[in-house]
Amino acid sequence: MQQRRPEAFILITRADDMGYTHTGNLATIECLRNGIIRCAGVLVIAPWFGEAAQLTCENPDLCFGVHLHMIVVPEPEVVIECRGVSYHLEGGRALLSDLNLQIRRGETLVLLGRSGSGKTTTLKLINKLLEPTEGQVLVEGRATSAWDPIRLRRRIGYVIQEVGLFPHFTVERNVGLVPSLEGWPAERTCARVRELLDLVGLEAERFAGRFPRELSGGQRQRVGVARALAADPPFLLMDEPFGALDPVTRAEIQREFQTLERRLQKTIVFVTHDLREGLMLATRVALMEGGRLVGVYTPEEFRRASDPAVMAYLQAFETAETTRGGE
Amino acid sequence: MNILQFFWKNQAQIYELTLEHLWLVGISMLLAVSVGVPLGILLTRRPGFRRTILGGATIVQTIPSLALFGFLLPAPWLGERADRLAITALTLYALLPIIQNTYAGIKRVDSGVREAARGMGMTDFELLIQVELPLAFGVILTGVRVATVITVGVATIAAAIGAGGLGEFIFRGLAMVDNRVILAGAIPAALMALLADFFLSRLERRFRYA
Repeated sequence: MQQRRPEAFILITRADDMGYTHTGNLATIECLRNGIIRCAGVLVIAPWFGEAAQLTCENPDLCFGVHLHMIVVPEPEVVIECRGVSYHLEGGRALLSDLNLQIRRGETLVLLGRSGSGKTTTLKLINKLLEPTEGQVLVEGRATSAWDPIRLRRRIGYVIQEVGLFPHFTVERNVGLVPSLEGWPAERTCARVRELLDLVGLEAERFAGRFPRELSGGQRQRVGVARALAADPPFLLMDEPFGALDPVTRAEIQREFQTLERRLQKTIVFVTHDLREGLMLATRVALMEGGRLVGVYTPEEFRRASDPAVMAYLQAFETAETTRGGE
Repeated sequence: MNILQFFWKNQAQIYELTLEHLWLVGISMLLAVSVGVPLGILLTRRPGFRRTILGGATIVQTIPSLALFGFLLPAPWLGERADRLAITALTLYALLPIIQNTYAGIKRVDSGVREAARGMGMTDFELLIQVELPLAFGVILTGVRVATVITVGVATIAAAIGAGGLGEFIFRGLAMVDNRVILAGAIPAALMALLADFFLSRLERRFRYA
């Protein structure tokens, strides 16, 4: 602090450093939430994951004379892993072949691909709605075959396209379902429900007592997200959660979800066939085709990728978009 | 003596036989629901039993009611008392629509809802109690309503084996060739069926979720 000019350290950090404090000679670097660091009065957004780290500064004027320091932090641990996973239907048809995939704590991994590419199957293998024919799926280092399915699923929030809200429950009971299954006291569940409705942008007073049929598609989807988050699970599986919405609502919810994603720090596996949505929300994108994994890329890599399969997907998606736009 | 006067004069007996009829129907329905609903649930969990259970219930349904009363007559404990026998037969008759509707009602629950429930970590029992049964309730109630209406009708035949009920009037009227006596049994029975139908369908409407 001897020097009088503005100073900052830029910490290239990983997702699980929340609360990490580095005390150096010159300043205290405090990692508030992953990627957002306060140091010497300057807020720096550091990207996490991905080799192509681009550093941006919220207020460029203050970044004058910035010292660039790199502090090595450990890679976030792998929390979900597929090892040589195949899944066959009873008739022998393979929905998934030899999938190897690692998902790290705090990231949003987007499974991208056409219908029938094995995205949903992968998701269901993670929460043990399906069990692999070959190979292993490990969640927190333990094979799903060794997990009690009920315990496992209560640690994993699950949002599906048709939302699956219970039509005979009010919004409040829908959202409070897992807490009540877990035996939370009523007041705590109630407070949690209010907090969550607030988080997804629904006024608790207006919506808590409504039934799903009294909500619009977008509102239902929000309730679905709130419900998945209810017992604060470390993982979130989302299967085309915004697929059934009209384009305007969809864009709105995607933006909100992006904010939510940063705030919540959950490990998210997100299934979509929508390229734009995938690139917008992903920390990494896993492209799948015909039950196989083509590759895993950061969004930047994906855009630049020379892999023929990636190019084919980009092209196919663009063609589809233009045709749709031309209608 | 016109019909109304006849009814007035015999009101005590009409009342008594109506109660008896109600009792036969009520007990039979209670038994049929407590056997039929669990059987319907069993079918959704163990599809292998489908043929046996639904087949058995269908066969019972095809036996003419009078014959069924007759078949059960030699059964050891049942044959001892006419009302036991009648209730057993009526219960057997009521089973099919209840089993069928319980099964169909649960099967019809939206697959997305079921998947969400399982994905959220509900046990099979929680899924059944909190989701499937409440959502299937309307359909199950339809089965109960159909069964009740059938039972009210079939229960008149129970008089043939001496189990009492409004069938007493009908059989007596037939023997006496007296329409007033027949109607003294037929009208309350028809009213009972209509009322049961009316109230149960009102109840059903409450359990309809879009």
